[in-house]
Amino acid sequence: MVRTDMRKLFFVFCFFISPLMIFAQEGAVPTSEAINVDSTDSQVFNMDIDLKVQDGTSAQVVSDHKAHHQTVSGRPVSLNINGGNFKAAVRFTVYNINADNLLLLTQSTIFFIKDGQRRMLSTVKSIPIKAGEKVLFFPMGVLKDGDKSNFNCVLEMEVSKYQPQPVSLE
Amino acid sequence: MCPDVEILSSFYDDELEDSQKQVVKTHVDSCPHCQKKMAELGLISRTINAEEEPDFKMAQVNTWNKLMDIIDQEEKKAPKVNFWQRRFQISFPAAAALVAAFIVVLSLSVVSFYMGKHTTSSPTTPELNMTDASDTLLGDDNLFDSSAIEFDIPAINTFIHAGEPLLIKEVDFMNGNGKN
Repeated sequence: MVRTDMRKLFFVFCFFISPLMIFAQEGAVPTSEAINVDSTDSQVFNMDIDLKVQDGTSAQVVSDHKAHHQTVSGRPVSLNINGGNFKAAVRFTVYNINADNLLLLTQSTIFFIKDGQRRMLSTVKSIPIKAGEKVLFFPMGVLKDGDKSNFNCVLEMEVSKYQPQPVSLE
Repeated sequence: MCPDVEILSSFYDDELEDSQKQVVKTHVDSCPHCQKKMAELGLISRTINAEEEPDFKMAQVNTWNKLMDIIDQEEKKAPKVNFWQRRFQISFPAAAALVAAFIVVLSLSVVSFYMGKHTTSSPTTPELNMTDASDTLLGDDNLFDSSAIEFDIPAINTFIHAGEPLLIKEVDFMNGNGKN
């Protein structure tokens, strides 16, 4: 009787373990939709991104593009910049170091034309910041004094911690 | 005068002609000696018939029938074993191989599941050297994330490459740390 029960248990075990083996190869990286925001409040960040084009001479902003994004620690936010004579793919990744300190990692791949030739520049830069601190990213570098007749492209970014909305009891 | 034994034997077996049979019968009825001989012949005949060899094939058939009956009875007596109670016999090497394969598959599944759960989808920097870059259009669309936030700057076309990308805090930039 005991042996019969053990056999039944073994077959049931095999029946349930086989799908697990099959689907174990599936990517387990959680999608943004699958993240339970409520349980990871301290890991969620707001990213306010402001792309500005400034006149090199007057520093006047001639073009302004804003974007807001929410992400979690370690998940990159991707931007594509189509700038006429250059294109840039930028990824910002925020890492939560501790309660106050964050690490902002910037990966950029930039295509541009210089001296009549197409060039590509790929860089990775990081900077320790605090929540709410503004950070600037110049994908094409900062204009030198002799290039003031051109335009500066700058990404202003502010990373703040996610604040859950108070639940109304009405 | 008494007939010899062969004639008496033929008489006993009813093999004589009718005329001879009548003569011998008349004599035997009146002769104690011949009656005794006839009694001996009868005894011999009954003995031979009694020791006659049995039919061997019939004995074989009977034996097999009895054996089959015994087997049928034993099968009826044996309890029926269903699937869950059936005993399987498997050799030790085969069993060891099955267990080893199961452990390997299970371990690989667990490891892959664990690694898939604890690795982030880190963006891969496209491997593209300058020669390849010069052959591509300005910005290979395959290198750009289609789900990324898109910024389209008006075609001013006066951006120049002023240097390496700079990442700096606004406070530090305002203090002149990032300016040339």
